[in-house]
Amino acid sequence: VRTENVPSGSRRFLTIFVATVAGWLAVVAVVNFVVNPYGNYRTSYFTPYSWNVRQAKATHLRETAVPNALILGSSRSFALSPEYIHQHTGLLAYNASVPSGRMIDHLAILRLTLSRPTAERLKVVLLGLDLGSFWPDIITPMELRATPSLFRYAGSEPARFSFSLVDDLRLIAFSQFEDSIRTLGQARTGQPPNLSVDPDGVVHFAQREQELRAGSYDLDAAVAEEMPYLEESYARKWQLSETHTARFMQIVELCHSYGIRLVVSLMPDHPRAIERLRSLGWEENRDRLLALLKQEQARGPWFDLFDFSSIDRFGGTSDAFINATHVTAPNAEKMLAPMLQTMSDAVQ
Amino acid sequence: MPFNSYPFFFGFLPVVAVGWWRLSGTARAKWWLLGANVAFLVCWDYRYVPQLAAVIVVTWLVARAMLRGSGSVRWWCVTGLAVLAANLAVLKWLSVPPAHSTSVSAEDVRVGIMPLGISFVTFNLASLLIDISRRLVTRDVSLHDCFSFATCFPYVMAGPLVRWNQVRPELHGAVPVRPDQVFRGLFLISIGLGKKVLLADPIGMRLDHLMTFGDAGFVGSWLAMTAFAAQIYFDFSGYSDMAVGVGALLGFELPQNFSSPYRATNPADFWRRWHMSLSCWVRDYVYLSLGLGRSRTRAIFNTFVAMLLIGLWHGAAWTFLLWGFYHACLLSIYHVSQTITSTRTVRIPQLVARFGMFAAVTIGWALFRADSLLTSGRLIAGMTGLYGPGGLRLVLNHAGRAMPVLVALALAITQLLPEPYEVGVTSAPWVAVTLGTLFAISLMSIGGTNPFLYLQF
Repeated sequence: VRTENVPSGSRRFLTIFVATVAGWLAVVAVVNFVVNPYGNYRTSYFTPYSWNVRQAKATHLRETAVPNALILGSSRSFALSPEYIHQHTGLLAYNASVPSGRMIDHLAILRLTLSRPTAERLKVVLLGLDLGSFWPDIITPMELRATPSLFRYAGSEPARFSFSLVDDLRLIAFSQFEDSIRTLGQARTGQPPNLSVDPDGVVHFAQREQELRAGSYDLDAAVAEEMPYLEESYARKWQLSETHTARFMQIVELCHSYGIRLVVSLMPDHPRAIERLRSLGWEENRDRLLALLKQEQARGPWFDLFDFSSIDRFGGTSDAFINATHVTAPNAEKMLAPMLQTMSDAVQ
Repeated sequence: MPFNSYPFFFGFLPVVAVGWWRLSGTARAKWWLLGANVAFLVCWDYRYVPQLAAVIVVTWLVARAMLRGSGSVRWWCVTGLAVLAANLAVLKWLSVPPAHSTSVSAEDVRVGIMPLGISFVTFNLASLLIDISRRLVTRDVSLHDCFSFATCFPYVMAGPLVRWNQVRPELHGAVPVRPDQVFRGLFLISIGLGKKVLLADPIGMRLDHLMTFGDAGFVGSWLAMTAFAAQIYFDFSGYSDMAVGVGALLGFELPQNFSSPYRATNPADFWRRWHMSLSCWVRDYVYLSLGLGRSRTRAIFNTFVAMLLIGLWHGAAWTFLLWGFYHACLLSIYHVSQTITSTRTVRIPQLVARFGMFAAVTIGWALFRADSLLTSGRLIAGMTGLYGPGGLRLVLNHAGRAMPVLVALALAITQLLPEPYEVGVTSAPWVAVTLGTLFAISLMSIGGTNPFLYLQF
């Protein structure tokens, strides 16, 4: 601000005001950058409060043996157990699903795995989709762009100005500052982080698991908590994104060209969520997505398709959920059971 | 580009304000403001601009015909108002707001569910035509003036409603910005943003959880509607403070919209304090236009017309209509009771009256907040205890333990602290540091997209 442009008499006030705002923003930005609570920046002085799941899984996939079965998907696929697959098929499995995972994440992870010299070990890819997987709400998650080791496998993706601006300004977010303070507190007390990733890709949320074990976890509240977001999303009547569809087909073709069996499954919603979303077009969304998948199935390279969008499709139970959209182990195992034969066939 | 966004604060506002200060007093100032207004609308959605421009051009043609005495002024005025009303009705009735009042996001407005601030633009343009017909505006109105008046970015989104004579000199950039306006502008913007992101948004987020939970008992229903009372006040008054503050930075003296409405002691007092620019508009252009006379029946009739219009102005939904009807009933009962008791001395302690009025307004919010008559019926039934007392623990599980604390804090502020307009702002350094700190905390707390509730109107 050039001072001659400011109404005379208010320059000093305006200067102090702007300097105070800039000072606070700079302090918060520097703390967030140095502490790096989500592991998004290049600094690594402290263990992140919440791990960057993409970073952790990219490191595993780059540095450990290539699995025979790779699980891709969003956090809805977290409960699909590599250990269960190994016990029933003998396949070495890895759960590479990531929070808010989008098609570009799945494509990048698959490409990273196939870039390994021993990529031929990969025989099966299990891709968990949901009714929102093809919605155009998030084309490229910012967490992916904050993970260069994975993002470079995502292919060319022109960054939208508004997105990058918002991402850069996350550095001044008060919520991140709170997590920076928590991270510092964690460093002082030496407590383990709330979120951690096992060598087979299984993600643990310490607090939630503790509540589940203690029987104090409130499933009703968790379902209710997620509903506003789901209702708002369904109310928008999003069309299926061509970008996501194109990337999905890239995954299909990539699997085909490497001789990998692709198994696609629709992950379930909680019955109460379905009931509430029915008037907002839940069934139409499911039918539209299934129609798209079947159309691509008929047109291009074959992939197996399992519709587990509601619990009655696989004999699941309504209490084996974490919230409106995420299942726990009992439901996940019931979903995996019919897919095991397909996986075994792939190895044969 | 809503007020509570980084692009607005880090890009648009500083550029426009500095440019305006530099050009203020020159012939180029008005073009700078017009450019800023167009840029603001285009950033929101360029597809909205042609439609808005068409409405403004039609209004300008009618205004010019009235000012030049081409035919009957009354006929032109009625024609212009009919065009504006038809445009508003078509947009409102053809694009019924989705779900409930908080579900309309900036994205919904942008994709064309509802053009930005259409109700505010329509009422501003209507006031111009009526003022011309009443000879309150006699000088020629240029197309540029008309466009700037209707789309001026500080108030185009959600008011406050302004009159032509209030802002015309400023629209030309003829009035230099005074230093005290800069202090006041920054003060109001900081307070307004704080109201929105530190109080209204956290309460709204928890309220959504509580509303999703469904049928709550007496405790839950009252907590929910009290929370909504706090949310809508801090959301809308926060926006209004920011609008007036942004206007002040550019030298505009925009009218204040709120005057501690939850301290009202009766329905008439409430409407003198709540959304003042709208209630004044309806009083001046509708209520008084219908004629008063000495008949009590006539006054009650006018009240119902005015309040039903205010209800419908918010949207084409039965819930809004019923909300207007409810307030018309409150006002009528109050006026009748005043007439009856005017000869007797009936004194209600002020605290009791204030509490009673707040309870009455909160019951009204159940009509306003609900997405259907069925839901509002359930809410009101819950508030009357028809679904039992309900458990506080159950409610807290769904709304979070911070909810009652936040709501109590918000209500305490409404009762104990003055409106920011009533505070004298000095240019002392500590004031700048305090405001800068509040503004920085608010900026850092802007999370995701939480649109202002009144954007949908």
